Amino acid sequence: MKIHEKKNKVMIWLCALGILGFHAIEAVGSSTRSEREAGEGELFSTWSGDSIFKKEIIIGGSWSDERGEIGGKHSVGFEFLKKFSNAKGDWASLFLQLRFVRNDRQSTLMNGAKMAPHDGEITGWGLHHHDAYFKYMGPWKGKLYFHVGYFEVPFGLEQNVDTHSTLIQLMPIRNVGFKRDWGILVGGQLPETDYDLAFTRGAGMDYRERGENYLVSGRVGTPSDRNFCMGLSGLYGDVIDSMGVMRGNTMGMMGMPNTWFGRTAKPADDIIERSRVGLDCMNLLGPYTLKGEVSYGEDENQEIINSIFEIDYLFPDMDGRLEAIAQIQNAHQDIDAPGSDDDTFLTFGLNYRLSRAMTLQSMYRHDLQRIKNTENDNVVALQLYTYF
Amino acid sequence: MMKNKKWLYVACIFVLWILSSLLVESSQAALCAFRNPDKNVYVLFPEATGYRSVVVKLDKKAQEKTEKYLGHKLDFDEVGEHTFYLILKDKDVIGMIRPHAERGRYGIVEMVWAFTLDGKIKDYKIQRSRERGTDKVKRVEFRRQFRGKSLKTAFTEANSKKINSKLFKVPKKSERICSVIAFSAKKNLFLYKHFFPEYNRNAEEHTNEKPQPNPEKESQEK
Repeated sequence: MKIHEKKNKVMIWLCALGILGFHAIEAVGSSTRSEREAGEGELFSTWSGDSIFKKEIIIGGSWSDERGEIGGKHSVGFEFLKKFSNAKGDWASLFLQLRFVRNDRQSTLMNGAKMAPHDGEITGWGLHHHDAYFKYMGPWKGKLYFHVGYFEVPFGLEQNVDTHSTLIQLMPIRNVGFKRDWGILVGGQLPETDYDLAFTRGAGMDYRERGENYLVSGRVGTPSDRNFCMGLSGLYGDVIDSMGVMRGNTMGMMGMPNTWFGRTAKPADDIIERSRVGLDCMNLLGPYTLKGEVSYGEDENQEIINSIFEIDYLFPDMDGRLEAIAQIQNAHQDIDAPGSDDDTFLTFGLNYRLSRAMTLQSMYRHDLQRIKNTENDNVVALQLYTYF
Repeated sequence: MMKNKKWLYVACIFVLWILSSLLVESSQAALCAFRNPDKNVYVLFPEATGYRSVVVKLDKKAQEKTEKYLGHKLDFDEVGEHTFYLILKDKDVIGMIRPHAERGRYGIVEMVWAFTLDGKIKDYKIQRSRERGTDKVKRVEFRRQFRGKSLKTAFTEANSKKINSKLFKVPKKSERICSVIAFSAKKNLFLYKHFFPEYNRNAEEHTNEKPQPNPEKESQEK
């Protein structure tokens, strides 16, 4: 059996055991509203009490006119939140989010991550974890907390916008290389400031340690519980990002060799030096939600500017069921080079909440300009999201 | 052979997943209904030292009872689980917080209600709101009208979601959001009493009593 197949098999069984285990624990410690009578100074509560378990099913398909084919992305998964309490209150929580995913001819269309064409096509099964971290709140009244595990990299709009189940995505892939990473985070909520600082592996979903990959990232912003919020983000590290390496590639002409970031040697282990600073803001204005982010930095020696602007519209008097989205993204690779690469596309979306548990999402994406001068594409995607 | 094994694994996962629902009552709670709980807890209860979250489920019977009391059906996404926060000073419960998102015309109005242990409103805070007039209902002049009110207060007009303008002074051009707040107060006081009857003892009638202003606290809030 090949190594990755064995790994998948182990992960699948662990997932299955995990599902049973969590439910067994929840059954034993079914929620109580009465106060616990834990002893003074007790650090750990019993492994029971308030926890939440939600199931999720996603059925999705997309069509690309450039490829002339239909792709699919389906998943079943769960989310689990467990609060730890003692006599003096909640002091920690555990959050797990896992999906068992099936891709068919899926070239990351539905997640909007553009890259060189006819590459990155994915077909097959996979186990994806989206959040797996322990949060320690301690006695600091929210001014200081710690995350340990796999969590969102604190950078940009992604911090305050939940995109884990949406067709239309923001730009973490172009800025960070991935949405989440393994490591530790320290953060807090001060009266007028939210802050987060993380030190992570720099590898994304699969924990890979190649000796030199790491990422330091952080965001400081106004409180996210207001209509208007803005933030300043930064990151620096040596990250594993194969798509980023591809974007830095230039095909050799007339017998000349291919180059990566101006050098003939491809970055070893797909590790590239990356830096970014970014500014993001979001504003709720009546039925409109306005979102914007601009970031600047370098991948190796290539300067990058990425920007995104989005308007969401909630149709009034429809109980918040119907929402329209319009978004434009521009990612500029190697801005100093003549004929530098530019990815620009428009995305329109329409979401309708069928019920408490089910949302139908639709998306149309039109390429205005595509990286590496390849053909523009039009993508139509549909997704049924069930959460119960 | 490997393909068949993969399908077998998928089937096992799916069966386990379905069976898992039989082990416990459905705990279909919203994972997060309270932005920044830490910060708001200590604003509404400055003397607090901690809080404990409690997830409770509104079953069919309770839903019918609530809807009968309100005179209106609950929103389609309000059925199921609700989260309350027991507010603690050391180990003693000193109050309750109930975050709630009530539907306005343009979307939800996110509110945080603070209740006392005798079933009354201590105060409220608005987080995000798309409705016009939000700035007016955030002011202490409007919020003060809700302090000390209990389940026996006529928050809205009979058989209506409209705020009772005979009891509450409504700022100009903000009737819609004022009604949202009043209806939310009525709903959440009822849910508070339903889920936590032990904390709703000695609720007294205050429909005609106006709470006395506290100049020192108001100057701090401003």
